[in-house]
Amino acid sequence: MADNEPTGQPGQETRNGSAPSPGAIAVLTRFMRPVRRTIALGVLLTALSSACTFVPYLVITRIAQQALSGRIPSPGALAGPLAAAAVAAFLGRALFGMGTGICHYADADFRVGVREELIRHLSRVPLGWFLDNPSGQVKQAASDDVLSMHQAVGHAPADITAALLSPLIPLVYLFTVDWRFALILLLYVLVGLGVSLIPMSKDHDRLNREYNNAIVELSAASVEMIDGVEVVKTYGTSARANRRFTQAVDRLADIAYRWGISTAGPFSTVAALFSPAVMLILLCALTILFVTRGWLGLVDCVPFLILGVGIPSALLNMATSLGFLRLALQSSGHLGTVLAAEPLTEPDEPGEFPDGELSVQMEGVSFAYGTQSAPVLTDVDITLRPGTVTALVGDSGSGKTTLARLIPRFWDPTSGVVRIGGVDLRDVTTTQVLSRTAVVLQDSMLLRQSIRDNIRLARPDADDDEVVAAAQNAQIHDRIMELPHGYDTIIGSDDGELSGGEAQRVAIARAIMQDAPILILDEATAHADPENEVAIQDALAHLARGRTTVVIAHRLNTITHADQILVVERGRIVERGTHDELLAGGGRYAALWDKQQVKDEEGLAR
Amino acid sequence: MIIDQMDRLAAGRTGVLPQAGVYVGTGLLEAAIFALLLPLLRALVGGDVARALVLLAAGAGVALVYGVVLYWADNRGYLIGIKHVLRPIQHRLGDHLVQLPLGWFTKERSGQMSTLLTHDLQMVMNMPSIFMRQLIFSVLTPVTVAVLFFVVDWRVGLSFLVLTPVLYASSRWMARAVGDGHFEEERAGAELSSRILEFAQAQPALRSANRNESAWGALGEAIGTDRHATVRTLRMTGLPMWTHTLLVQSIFALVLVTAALVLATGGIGVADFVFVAVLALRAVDALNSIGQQGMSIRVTQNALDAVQRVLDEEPLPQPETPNRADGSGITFDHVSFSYDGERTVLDDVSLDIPERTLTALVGPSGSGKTTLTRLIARFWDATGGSVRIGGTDVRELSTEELMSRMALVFQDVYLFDGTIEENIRLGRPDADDEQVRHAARLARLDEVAERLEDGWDTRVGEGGNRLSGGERQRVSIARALLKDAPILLFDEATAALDAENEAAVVEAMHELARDRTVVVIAHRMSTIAAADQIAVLEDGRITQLGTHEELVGLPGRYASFWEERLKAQGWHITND
Repeated sequence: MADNEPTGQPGQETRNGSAPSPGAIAVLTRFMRPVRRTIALGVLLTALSSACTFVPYLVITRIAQQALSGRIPSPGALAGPLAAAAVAAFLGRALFGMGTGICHYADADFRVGVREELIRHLSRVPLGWFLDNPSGQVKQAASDDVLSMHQAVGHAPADITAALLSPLIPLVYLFTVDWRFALILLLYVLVGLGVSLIPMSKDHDRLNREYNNAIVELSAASVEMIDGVEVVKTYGTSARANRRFTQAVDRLADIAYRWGISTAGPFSTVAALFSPAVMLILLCALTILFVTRGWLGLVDCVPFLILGVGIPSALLNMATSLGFLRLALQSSGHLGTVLAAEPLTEPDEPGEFPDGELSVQMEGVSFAYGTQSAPVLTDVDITLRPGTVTALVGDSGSGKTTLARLIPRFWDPTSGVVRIGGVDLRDVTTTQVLSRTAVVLQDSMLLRQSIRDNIRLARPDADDDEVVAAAQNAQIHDRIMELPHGYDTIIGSDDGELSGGEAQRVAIARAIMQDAPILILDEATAHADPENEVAIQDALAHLARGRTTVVIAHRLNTITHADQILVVERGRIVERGTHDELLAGGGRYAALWDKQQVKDEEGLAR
Repeated sequence: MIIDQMDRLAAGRTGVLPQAGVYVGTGLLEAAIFALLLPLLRALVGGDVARALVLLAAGAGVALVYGVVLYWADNRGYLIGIKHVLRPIQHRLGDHLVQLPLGWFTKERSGQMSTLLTHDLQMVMNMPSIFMRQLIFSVLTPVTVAVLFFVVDWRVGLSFLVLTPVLYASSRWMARAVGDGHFEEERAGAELSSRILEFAQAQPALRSANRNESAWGALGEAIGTDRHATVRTLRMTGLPMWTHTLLVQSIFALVLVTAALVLATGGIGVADFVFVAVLALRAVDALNSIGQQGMSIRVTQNALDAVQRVLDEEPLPQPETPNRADGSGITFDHVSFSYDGERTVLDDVSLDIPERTLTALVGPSGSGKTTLTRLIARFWDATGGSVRIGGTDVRELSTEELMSRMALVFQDVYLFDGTIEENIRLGRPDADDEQVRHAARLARLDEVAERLEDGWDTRVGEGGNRLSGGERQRVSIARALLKDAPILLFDEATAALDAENEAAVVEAMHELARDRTVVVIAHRMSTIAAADQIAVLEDGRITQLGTHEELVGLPGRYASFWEERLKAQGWHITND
C-alpha cells in the first residue's frame, strides 16, 4: 500500500444478528449446487437412520404392552423382535454415521469449490480493489466465511433431518395411539419452547451486536497493546494501551455476562423443562390422569412413557442446527459482497501491442475511487516517449501514486483514455498490459517460496544461469550466496531473513527477468537502509536502461536528469519540464528543490 | 486438573470447585427422580393410585427444586466463568505481557496472543456452566442408571456394566482421534488461508508475471493439502467413532435383551421392565455425548495451557531497592548480547557517551546498531557486561525512573487509534493543550491536521494507518519533544520520507537534539559530520571510533561508507 496515500480506515465487519439477505441464500445455494446430489444422499441416509432408530423403541413398547396385558411372551417368541430391534439399532447408527460422513466429504469438495472461485475472482478484480479493501477482508472470506459456511454443508443437512424426524416419527405414532395424550404432550413442548424463547428473541439481536462489538474492541485493544508494546513500555505501563485493554476486557465481561444470562436463561429454562427428570414426572402425571379418568388404559399409556421423554431434546438439537445455519448465511452474505466486486472488463477480441519500445499516453484522464468520492486525478494529459524517464513529484495525497498505477491498469480511469503504444488499455487484456509493465513497489511482494522461483516468477522456464545473471545485475547475488541454502532459501523461513532493502533487490531481479518495455518505480528505494541504497540504485539504473520509465521520487536530486518531470498537485499536473526548465521557472518545483537543498546542510548539527 | 488450573491462573478462588459440587448435587436430584420412578411405575401397574399420587407429588416437588437449582447453577456458572475466571485471566495476561522483554514479541507470537485473548479464551467462559454441567451429567446419569439397574435385578445391572471398561477405552480413543484430526485440519486450513492472503497481496507481482491461480503451484498445493487433511481426519476419526457408537448400541441391546429375558422368565415385573427401558434410553443419550464433552474440555485445556506458558515467561527483573541515575551520560562496559544464546549480536562493546553530546552509530544492517540503542532503554538485558546511565547500571533503575529519562524515536512508529493530540500527549500526560499544540507545531503536524477531514480530532486509525510513515514519525518526534527527557535515542531512517516530510523531520529533530545526550543511528551525512563521536559497528563490534575528521582520512569501513553516501547523494535514475 502506498505509504504516502493512506487508504482510510479498514471497515470493521460486525456480524449482527440481522436476517440473512436473499443474496446470501443465492450465494450459498450456488456453491452447494455441485455437491447437491451427495448432500441429498446424506439426507436420505439420515432419514432412513431416523426410521431405523425408531424400531427398537417400538419393540420395547410392544413387549411391555404385551406383558402388561398379562401375556408375558416366552423367550422364544422374543427372539425375533429383539433381534430385529438390535439390528435396527445398529443399522440406525451406521446409517447416521454414513449420512454425516457423506456430507463431510461433500463439505470438503464444497470448500475447495468456494475457495477456487474466490481465488479466480481475486485474480480478476482490478488491482486497486486490494488497496481499497483491507487484507482482513480477504482473510475473512477465505477462512472464517468458508469455515462457517461449512456448517451449512457438512452438518446442517444431516443434523436438521435427524432433529426433525427423530421427534416427528414417534410423535406421529403417539397420535395414532391416542391423539389427546399426544396433543397435550405436543402443546407442552411448544409452549415450553415459546415461553423460553420469547425473551431471547427480543434482546437477542441487540445483545448479539453489542457482544460482537465488544469482541472487535478487545481484538483491537490487544493488537494495540501487543503491536504497540514498544510505546507502552517507553511511556509506562499505566499508559493508554493497557488501560484500553483492561477496559475492553471489563466491557466484554459485562456484556458477555448479560448476553449469557439473557440467552442462557431461556436455555436453562428449556433445559430444566425438557430434562428427562421433569418429562418423566409430567408423563407420569398425565398417565395417572388419563387412567383414573378412564380415558385410556395403562397399556396405551406405556408408549408415551417410553417415547415421550426423548421428543423435546431432539427438537432442541434443531435449534442449535438452525443457529449454525443462520451463521452460515451471514458468512455467505459477506462472501457474496466480496465476490460482487466488478472485475475489469476484458475485450472479447483483444488487440495487440506493437513490438519493441512502447510509449505511454494519458488523454483527459480523471479518476475517483468511488462514484461518491472526490476526484483524485482531474484532466491529466501526459505523454511518455519510448525509452524516456519521467519523474512524478508532489506532496502526500497529490495523486502521483494513483497516476502511476493507472498505467498497469490497477483501475480504469473514470473518464479519459490511457494508451500504451497507442493502444487503449481497455482493448487488451489485463495480462497483456501487465506483461509489458514491470512494477517495482515499495513493498517488494516476495512470495513464500524459493528465491530462485521468486526471481523467475515471470519466466518459470528460465535456467539457473539466467536467474544468477538477473540477481547479479540486481546487486543481490553475493548476498544470496551467503544464505545457507542459497537460491533455494525459502523467503520468510528462518534462514531466509532478508532486510527490506535486500528483498527489494530480489524484486528488482524479478523485474529484470521480466524484461518489460515499461517500468514503474513506486518509491522503490523507500525501505533502503544507507548500506543498501547504493546497491539498489545501481540495480535500478541497470533496470531502467532502455525502458519507458516512470519514477515516483522522494529525493529530487535523484531525478535531475529525468527527461521530463511532472509536478502533481491536487490531482492536476501543475508543472512539467526538465529539471533546468523547472528551476528556471521558479514555481512549485523550484520551491521544493530549495527546501531539500537547505536541509542537508543542517542535519542534527548544532 | 482443569479446575485447579483455572483457580491458579485466575490467581484466586474462583468458585469453580464448589460449582462442580452444585452440578453434582443437581445430578443427584435427577437421580432421586429416576429412583422415584420405579415405585411409581410399580404402584401404577399394581393399580394403587393413591400411592402413585403420593409418589408423583414427591417427584414433582423434587423436580421443582431440581429445575430451580439447575437454573440458578447455570447463572452462577456464567458469573464464575466470565467474571471470576475469564476476566482475571485476561487481566493477568495483559499485565504480564507488557512486562515481558521486547525480544519476546515476534510477529508470530503477536498473532498468537491476539487469537488467544480474543478467540481461544472465550471458550473458557463456558467451562463452569454449560461444559461442566454436560460433562458431570454425562457421567452421573450412567452411574445412576447402573445403580438403579442393580436394584431392579442384578442380571440387568451386570448387562449394563459388562462393556463399560471397553467403552471407557473407546471414548478415550475417540476423543484423541477427533482432537488430533481437528488439530491437523486447523493447521492445513490456516496454511491455506495464509496462502490465499499471500496470493491476494502479491497480485500485482503475480499478474505481471502472467501467473494466475492455476499457474502458481503453491496455492493449488495448499488447497490439495487442506482437502487431504479433511479426508484424512474423516478416515482417522471414522473408525473410533463407529466403534464407540457400536459399543453404546451393544450395551443398549444387551440391556434390552437381558431385561426382556428376565421379564419372560418372571424375574422382574412389567413395571420394572418399562423402568429399565426408559432409563436405558437416557443412558444411551448420555454415553453418546461423552465424546463431545471430551472435545470441549480439550479445547479449553489448550487455551489454559497457552496462558500458562505465557505467564511462565520471565519478565525483566526489577531491582528491590532502585537506585537513581546521576546525570545522563551513558556507558557501555564490555557489553555482549545475544537474543537466543547462539548468535552473538553485540560482542564486548565498550563505549562512553558523555552528557549532552551527539553520538552517531554507523554500520551495515545487522551490525547491532539497533540492539545497542535498545539496550540503553532496557528492551532486553545485556548478556554480559553492563549498561550504565549516569553511572548507575540500568538494571538497578526502576522501569519508571529509566523511562522518564529518555525519549525514543524509532523507525516503525506505532500510533494508537486516537487523535494526533492524544498520541502526542502520551509523551507527558499532564501537559496542557498549549504545550501539546506547541510540540505538534514544531513537528509541523499542523499541516497534517489541516489535510485530515476532522482536523485535530481525526482518529489516526489502527497503528496509525491513516497517516503516512513520515507523518507517523513526526508524531513520535512531537511526543518526544513534549516529554523533554535528557536522553534521546533516534533512528534516523528518513529514507521512507518524501521531500516534504523529510524537511519537517529534520527541522524538528534539530530542535529536539539541542542540549540532550543523543544517540542516533545515523543515515544523514550532515548528522554524521556534526557528531561529537562516530562509532562504526561491524558484526557486533565497534571497529572505529572518532570524529568525522579523524575517521574519514583513515582507510577502513568509515571511509568507504562515506564514499558510498556521497555516491548515493549524487545518484540519478538515468545515470549508467
